[in-house]
Amino acid sequence: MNLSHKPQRKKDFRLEQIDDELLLYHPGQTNILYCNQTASLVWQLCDGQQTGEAIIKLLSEAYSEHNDTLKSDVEAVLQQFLDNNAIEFRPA
Amino acid sequence: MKRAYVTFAGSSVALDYPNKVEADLINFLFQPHLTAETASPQAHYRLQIDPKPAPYRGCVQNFKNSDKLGGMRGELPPAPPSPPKISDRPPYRLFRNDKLTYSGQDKAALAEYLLGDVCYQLAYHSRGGLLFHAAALSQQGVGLMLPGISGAGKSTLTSWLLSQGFNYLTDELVFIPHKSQNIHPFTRPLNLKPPTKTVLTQFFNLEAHQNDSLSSQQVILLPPTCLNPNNRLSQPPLKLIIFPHYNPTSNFVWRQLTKGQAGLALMECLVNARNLPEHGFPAVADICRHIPAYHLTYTHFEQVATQLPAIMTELSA
Repeated sequence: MNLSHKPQRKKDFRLEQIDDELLLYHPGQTNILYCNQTASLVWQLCDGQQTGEAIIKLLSEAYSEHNDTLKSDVEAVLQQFLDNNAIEFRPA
Repeated sequence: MKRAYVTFAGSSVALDYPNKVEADLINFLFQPHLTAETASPQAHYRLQIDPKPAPYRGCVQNFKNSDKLGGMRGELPPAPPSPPKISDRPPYRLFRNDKLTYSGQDKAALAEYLLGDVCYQLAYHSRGGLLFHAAALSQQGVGLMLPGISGAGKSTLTSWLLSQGFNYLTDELVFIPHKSQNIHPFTRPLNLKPPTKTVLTQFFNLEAHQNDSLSSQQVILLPPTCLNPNNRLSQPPLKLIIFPHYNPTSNFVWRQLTKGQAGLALMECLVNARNLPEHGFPAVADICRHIPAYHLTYTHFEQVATQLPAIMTELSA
């Protein structure tokens, strides 16, 4: 995973927003991704327009009280999206 | 040969049987779901029960000491033909689509096999709503669903709640039709495996109901009225979801799930996703937006008694 690249959501994922949470599901796969509030925000920001580093910076400014764990949380979320084929990274 | 139909969750099967003994078993297992003829049953069963095998009625030939038998002096005469063996054909047999799928000596084992196979056929072809692997009960018009995989503790908790005055609906399958919030249960005799039997015998005399149930080493099939004589079947609105886990060595956990967590857990218990638009995903999410859900890990039933009554009272108000 290269955080200087731009994460892009893959098409065909069905999304159900339930309050601050997301459930992501792909018809061709059997697993479902559960996204808590942080993961939901990361998913929304995976629009192919900003790098992984920029996403971390954006969320750090918005949630400064969680700065000590936020970077590792976002990296873990992006890795999980990647492992489940929900996003791809494009060169900046 | 007579025919019965079992219909549930948008699907049906046909059961052919020759005599009353088979009809009685079919009624015991499927009575709430027996219907008039349906257009396209998904499977055809044929049930055969031989109460006792017919005795052998052979004959014995008297061989005369004739020179024609055996020829020369000292030669033994030919042995008489061996009589056929008394029939050892198993008395309990089940055919599905003309293929023998069960043959055995034990009626309870046949019943359990037939129940499981019919449930599988109905679930595989189910459509028109969400079909969950779940138990369900009701109290004061409130429907409670207990989704979970086999071995999670659904039947154990269901049996105890039934003995506490809840109405038993099912211990296996719950169908919620599209555009409905009501529970349509697959009502069958309680299917109690040895671990559940061990727990239940601590507070319930199963032996006293031997004549009403079917039992073997592996299973007891118990009518719900044995645990609650006032049991009433219904299709109540779903108001509460509990994901139970029986673990005798764990700490007690009673935790409300977020709506997203409940959606994830419920999707894991959806058994007819392949037959539904978008695999039933939006419909399951919609249930979780409106119905509270809890995770429960328990070691004693008394722990459940500390939490459940208050919630049921609140929901029935």
